[in-house]
Amino acid sequence: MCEEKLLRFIDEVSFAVTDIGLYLNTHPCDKCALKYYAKYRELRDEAMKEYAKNHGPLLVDDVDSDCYWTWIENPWPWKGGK
Amino acid sequence: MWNYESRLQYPVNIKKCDLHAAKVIMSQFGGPDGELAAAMRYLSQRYVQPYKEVCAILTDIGTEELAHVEIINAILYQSMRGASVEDIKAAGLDTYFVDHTLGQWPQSAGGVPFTATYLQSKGDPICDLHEDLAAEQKARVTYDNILRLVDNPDICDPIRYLREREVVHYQRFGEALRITQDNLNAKNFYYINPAYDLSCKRSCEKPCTKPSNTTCNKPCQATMDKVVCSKPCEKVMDKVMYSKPCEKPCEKPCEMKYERACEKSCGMKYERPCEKPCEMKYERSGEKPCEMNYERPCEKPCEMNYDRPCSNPCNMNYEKSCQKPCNKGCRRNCQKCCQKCDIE
Repeated sequence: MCEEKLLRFIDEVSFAVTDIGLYLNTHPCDKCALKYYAKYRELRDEAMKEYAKNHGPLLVDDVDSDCYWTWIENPWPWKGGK
Repeated sequence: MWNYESRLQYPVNIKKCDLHAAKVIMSQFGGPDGELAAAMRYLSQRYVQPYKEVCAILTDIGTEELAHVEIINAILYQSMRGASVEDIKAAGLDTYFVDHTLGQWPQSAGGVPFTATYLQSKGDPICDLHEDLAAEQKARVTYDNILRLVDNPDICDPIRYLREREVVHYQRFGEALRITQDNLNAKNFYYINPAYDLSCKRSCEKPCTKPSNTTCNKPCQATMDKVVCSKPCEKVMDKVMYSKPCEKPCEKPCEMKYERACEKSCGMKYERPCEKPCEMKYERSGEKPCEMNYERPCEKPCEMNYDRPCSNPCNMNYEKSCQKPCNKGCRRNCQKCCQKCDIE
């Protein structure tokens, strides 16, 4: 997946995780929703890992270099053009 | 995008209700030099910053300030929890109580509501970074004053942590200012505002038509573009045509004086020698290792004036009267500590 497509995919699955999280705050026993959460969280984790590996970290926790602090190298999201 | 971590950056566990402390610490939530103003200041200023290191510093310190808002509110919540109406009246908190009960509301210790006039976002990196440096010092003094007014060790401990972070942030903002100035015209830092003039529509947008190995003699149409780029640039024409540093990755190692080439080849995707200054500062100086137990290895001598984590002798000048070390193991500042020792 190209960088932009992957980032849009991360946006989508992350939104699913955020939104179902809100629902679960008020419906903590809903098994179906818990399953939905687990599915999208896994998709998100994988996509975040793939993005960090190929295009640089989205989370500071994903910085993985012993020679350069790649955190500052990613284009800052508010700069646009992505 | 932000995510919440369900933990405090530094733990807060206050055993006893302390309304007098809450009344003054409130200022570090919604007061003129408080954490809320700090977070809003840095997170507002970062957008127009042209240099990536400065974007990173403002984003990360702004984020940390949000965590400090949470620590302050945890202190306020725990130190007001369970207060009786009599205690509230006695502490002079009745004027707060009538409007907010024991809920958290951003105001200064003097009761002035939080306002955006506590902060500035000027759209000029040099100006904004000086504001940030001043803000960290003002917050540091507020914490010093809180430590003079409060003697509850459960409260002083996280307050000392927050105070120390102000000192660290001040250091990082100083470096951000240096990085900004290194990118500007060394003879006149104020020649352009890089947050405005480099992206301004008046910038020369026409690409130079001359071959890249010759100097472009055509005067630029836009007056502000005559500034010569202070960064070494491979492309001759860029030096003349654009004030903007060349955006193409440089192929040769950077010649800027403070930079050291990384010995290892860069592991970044570009597969080129690393042109960045080596950021691993911890291995460089550090003649004096920091004695603060919760810190990572630190390149600075310990600056904590207070007696707890630091094993250096306290050198706060108002303690001159004290001849002997306190043997109570108490965590308060030395002056009060000594008074207590003398009494007992």
